[in-house]
Amino acid sequence: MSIAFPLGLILGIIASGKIIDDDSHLKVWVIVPTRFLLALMRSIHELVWAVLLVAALGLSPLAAIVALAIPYAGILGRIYAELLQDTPSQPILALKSTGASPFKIICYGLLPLSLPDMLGYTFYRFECAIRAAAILSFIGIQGIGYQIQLSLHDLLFNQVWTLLIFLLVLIVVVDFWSGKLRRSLTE
Amino acid sequence: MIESKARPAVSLNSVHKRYGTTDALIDINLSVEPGEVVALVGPSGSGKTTLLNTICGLTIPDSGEISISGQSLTNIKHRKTLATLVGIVSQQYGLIPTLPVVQNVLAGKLGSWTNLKSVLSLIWPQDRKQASSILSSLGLDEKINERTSHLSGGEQQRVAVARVLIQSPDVILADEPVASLDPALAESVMGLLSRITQVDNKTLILSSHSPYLIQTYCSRIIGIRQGRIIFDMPISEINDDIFHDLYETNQILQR
Repeated sequence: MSIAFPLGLILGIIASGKIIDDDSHLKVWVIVPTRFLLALMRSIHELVWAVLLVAALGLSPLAAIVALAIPYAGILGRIYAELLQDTPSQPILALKSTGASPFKIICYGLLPLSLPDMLGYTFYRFECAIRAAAILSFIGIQGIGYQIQLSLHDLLFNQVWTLLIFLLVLIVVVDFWSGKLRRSLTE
Repeated sequence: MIESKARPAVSLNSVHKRYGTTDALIDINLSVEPGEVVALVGPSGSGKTTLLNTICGLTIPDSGEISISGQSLTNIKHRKTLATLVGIVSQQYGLIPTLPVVQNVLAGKLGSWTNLKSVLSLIWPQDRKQASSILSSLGLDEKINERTSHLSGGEQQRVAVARVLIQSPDVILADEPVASLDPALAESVMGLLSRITQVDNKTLILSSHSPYLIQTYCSRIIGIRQGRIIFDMPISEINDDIFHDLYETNQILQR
């Protein structure tokens, strides 16, 4: 997620088209390829990415991380682009009239306007990523799913239950964290 | 570009703007001298907002020429150059509700700040003294750290005025800048705007529906109806009949 979030954010900002002037001919040449890239990243499931990357990188945690980061950046980027497109245009126009550059418009306009919604969705995706990480390790990559599988094979059900409860606790903690952050942003 | 004092602050030459099938502005010719306080009057939908947005470059006219201080808008390539020449307080304020008041005021400085300074200012507000002195002249100094969405309509309107004052362009455009304020506050904000215009030799063009405020604070009045300039005269020549004609004929036309 720490790779998917910044990557998705950058691609999402570009794909939203909010920082490119409407009359610029750059618009088509930048936005369409970015959207295509986002579609490509998310159209392939993380499990498929994992199989491909295990073939390329071996059974390493890196393969799992990249396999999750690519489709998650694609999904986040698409949602961010939509959230950014839904921001009201009046404040953005006002910032343009103060002479703000696109970068400053992102910092002072687009992000503050859409951050609460973005955060909520990012945390939801974080939950999904935790679950997906457990699944990925069923294909042999080290991880909690791998441990569950081992314990199951050894018929050590008390260990299986401990690991499942651990997963539950992880999700609850993420939920709590997300609620707290969102409240501090929206008051 | 040669600077000259004799050049008009704002000049429009046969400016046209269409939205779909309706003409928003028809053949607008206008010249405003530095130091003038000009009132735009006219019924809702007459083109006042479109005219102001066109002057500050937010709306691109279909044809015609606009210059600020002798420089044609089409020749000004950088937004930050434009921001030193002209700034606007729009009707919807255009504030960022999730940011504190101080950040919204300092947004007026974004044209002159570097990227680094702008980002730093989100954490440690830069030039805070200047922001707070402008806010206190608008009666808002206690709200400086408040979240903008917690402010009332009238307070938000004054934050928008503060932002254009800190931007400090040569030409200040204001679209109904006191519409959400009570009469006493409206008068003090209008007084402040016209004083700053005079002291710093700026130019102020504002739209308003209040004959009293216009007659007290403006030097010139321009009436607009259905995208056309109907009259343009010094404030001393205005009388109630002209006002009534401007607003009432329109209602008859709509029937």
